[in-house]
Amino acid sequence: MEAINPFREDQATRTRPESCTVVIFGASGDLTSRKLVPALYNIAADGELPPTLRVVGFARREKSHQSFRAELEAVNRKVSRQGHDDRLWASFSQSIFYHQSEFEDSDGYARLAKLLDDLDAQGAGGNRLFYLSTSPDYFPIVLEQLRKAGLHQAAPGKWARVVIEKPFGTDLATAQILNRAVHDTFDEKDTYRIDHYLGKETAQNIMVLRFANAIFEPIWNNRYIDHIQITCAENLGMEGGRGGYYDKAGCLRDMVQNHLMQLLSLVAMEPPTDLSADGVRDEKVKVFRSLRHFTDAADVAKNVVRAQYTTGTVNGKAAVGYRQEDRIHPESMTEAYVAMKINIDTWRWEGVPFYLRVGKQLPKKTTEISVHFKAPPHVLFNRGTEDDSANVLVIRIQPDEGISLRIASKIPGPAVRTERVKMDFQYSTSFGKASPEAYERLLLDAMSGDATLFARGDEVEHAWRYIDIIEQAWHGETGQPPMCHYPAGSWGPAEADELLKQDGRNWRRL
Amino acid sequence: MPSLILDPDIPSADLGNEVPLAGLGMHLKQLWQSNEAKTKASLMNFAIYSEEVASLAENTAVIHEVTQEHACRALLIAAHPGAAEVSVRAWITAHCQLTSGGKKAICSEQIAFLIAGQSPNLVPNTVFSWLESDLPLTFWWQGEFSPRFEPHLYAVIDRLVIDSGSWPDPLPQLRRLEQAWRHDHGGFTVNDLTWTRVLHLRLAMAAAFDEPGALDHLREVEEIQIDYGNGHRLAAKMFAAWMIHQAAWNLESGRPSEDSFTVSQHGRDMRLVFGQVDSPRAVPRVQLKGPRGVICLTHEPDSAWIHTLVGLTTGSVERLTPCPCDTPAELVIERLRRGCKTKRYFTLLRTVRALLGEYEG
Repeated sequence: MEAINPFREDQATRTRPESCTVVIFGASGDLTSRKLVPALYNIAADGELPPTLRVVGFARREKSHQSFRAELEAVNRKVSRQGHDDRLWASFSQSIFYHQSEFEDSDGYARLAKLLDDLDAQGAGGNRLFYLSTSPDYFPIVLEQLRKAGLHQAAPGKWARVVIEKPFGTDLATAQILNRAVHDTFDEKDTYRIDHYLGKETAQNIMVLRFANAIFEPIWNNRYIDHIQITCAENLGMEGGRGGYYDKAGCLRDMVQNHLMQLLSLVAMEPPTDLSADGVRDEKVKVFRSLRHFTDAADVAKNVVRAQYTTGTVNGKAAVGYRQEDRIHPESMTEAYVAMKINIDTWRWEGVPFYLRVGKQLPKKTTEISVHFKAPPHVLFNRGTEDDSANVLVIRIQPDEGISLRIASKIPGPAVRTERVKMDFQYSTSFGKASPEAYERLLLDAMSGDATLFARGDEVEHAWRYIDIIEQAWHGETGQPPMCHYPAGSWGPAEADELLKQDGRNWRRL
Repeated sequence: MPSLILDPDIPSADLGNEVPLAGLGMHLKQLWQSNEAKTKASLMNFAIYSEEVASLAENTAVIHEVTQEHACRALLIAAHPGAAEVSVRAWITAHCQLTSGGKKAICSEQIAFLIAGQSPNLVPNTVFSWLESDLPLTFWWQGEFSPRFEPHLYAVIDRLVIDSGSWPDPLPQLRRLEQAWRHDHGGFTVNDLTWTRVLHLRLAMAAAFDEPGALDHLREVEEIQIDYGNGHRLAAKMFAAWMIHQAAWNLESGRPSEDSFTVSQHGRDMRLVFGQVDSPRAVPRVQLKGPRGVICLTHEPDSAWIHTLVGLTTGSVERLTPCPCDTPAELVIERLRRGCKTKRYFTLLRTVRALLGEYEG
């Protein structure tokens, strides 16, 4: 049994990350320099970095340890949340190494194994965290090579884990293939499928809001809730060359299957029996299993709106249409916007639709969940009026993170007139301190062995099972639902508004 | 009017507008009506009490720093119990911090009181009518406890902040603190800034013993040397008490006047020696020596980092641990970020008192 550090005993407010070597595959990419390494640096600045942590960047380009560190330093100076301290960087960067190899080259992995052994001999500790940040095409290749090199097997008492970036497959079949490839190499308990939305403080707060406050759970059901809206709006198009990837993936695969489905599951799940990774994920899986699947293309057309933006103006700036964007096929049938109505067939949610909308080139960048409660009886203050006096609880995921509750209040004066007012909680005013970046939390969790904020294999497959039906309807031979259009800078196509209007509802004005 | 009005130590410009106590509520409201670009924010009531009149200006600066991270309703109280007449003066101001890329000003309001003279419950009765309801009260008592630290006062406190290192004679003060806490049935938690002063040193020490081979070294340590800076003897004793407690050592004997002790581990004796050095840091150096080598934590005067050297026969590792807390405001900010375990604090105090020589003879 490993000896316990007595000085650690009383200081852990969270699971302590263990000493390890983080191997980042695809280390030349933006994610490494802009997110992963700054996240590790900020963890170091907070004094939470595991001792003797080592970082090995694995990529194809030729470079030295020194030039790799210099590249990372230049970016860290610009993006680090807590600024850049030369002395800390000098110490931290000594833990960063570069390993050049092709992803398919077995020899490169043999050399990697040797490097890791050398680092272990210098005190790295023997634990390994393999971070797959390559193009998804390379995921199975890297996994296979790790297995062949024996790197997936940790020494006794040590661990080897894998973190896999999104997208996890492009449909159910590819996700299943990838899951098999993962499981051929790593156990599920050692697999961490990242969805950075789950690392956001506000997403984590959904469970706290629901289960740490006695007033919400009793009304969190179809008796009191009319419907729920989840909006994820972006005011950007295909800048920065992202069109190439996006035109292949589309909004549904890129955003709905992962981020929005994860948010939905947190809102809709039953209370878990405990806060263990599987305790929480079991409940999320139950939500995915309860999603009412669309029966055919007509059902999809009735409940899902897909759209592309056309020429317009966003924030006073002229914007081209989706098909005129850089790296987008001029006749592309890829959606840049999705609005949909989801039903969950559970006792709790029977008759409560969840409306999701997500898209590019919308008027502003915002992600939020709004819970719309049923209207009070129109018998007293609102008798004979059409007033929308229903309470709305809004969970703002980003930006302006916080929670607000819309309530009715009497307007001061002799007449009895009511008006909607907002009770507002904002993270920035209450807690002041900037929240850590999602990647900081997720990396710490992966190093600590806490998979709660990572998607499990069956979760991903269930989500794809639901999404595939829509994709198949859109790209099938017959009865394809139409591609709708909206001017860039507007809140989406008229058909999306109609989706709610037919149920007697409206999108929340943002 | 009392002579204090003319006291040059009261820079009323920093304190904001002086307002009559009777109209304080109305003036506070006006403070917010005058500028709609400002948002009032508050997560707690934060009171600072001092019996130094000049503290109002210093504490206004502290509040300005604290509110950058912890929005609050700040209540500054300067008491002058020696004044012949009873009088209360009040000032209001707001501390605004820009957020959201400089677009929005988040403001915390401050009410400063100058309370002169003696009258039963004058301080609690004046101040606590200005608490924001439903929000917890953090109360920083500056200096040694006076007769005004009494049950009426601490019954409403959620967190009591003190700085035991500032007490010239800490033993009776620590006893008084513990009595009050027990009298209040543990109703308030204690945040001692002297304990916070060694927080990052404790984190660095913990990290040092994560290094391979360090635990073997711990089992064979022969001498522990703890250096403390000017005026920080108590901080060093607290750190030592924490080590003794965590490592399950026994404090066997010692000569407190010479700051030299014997501690034991599984029947094996170790020397624990304190030394005063000329440094602004509370504990600029801790060293654990043994046959396997040395573990040394150093906090240089000009550095925001604690340097750790784990120099063992099996190898040598160096690392840095951030240590951003130096000024009282920084210590308070750090303390407010964290929870507190008051029971444990009082458990440690028993060892601290022994290290200070309380049980001698």
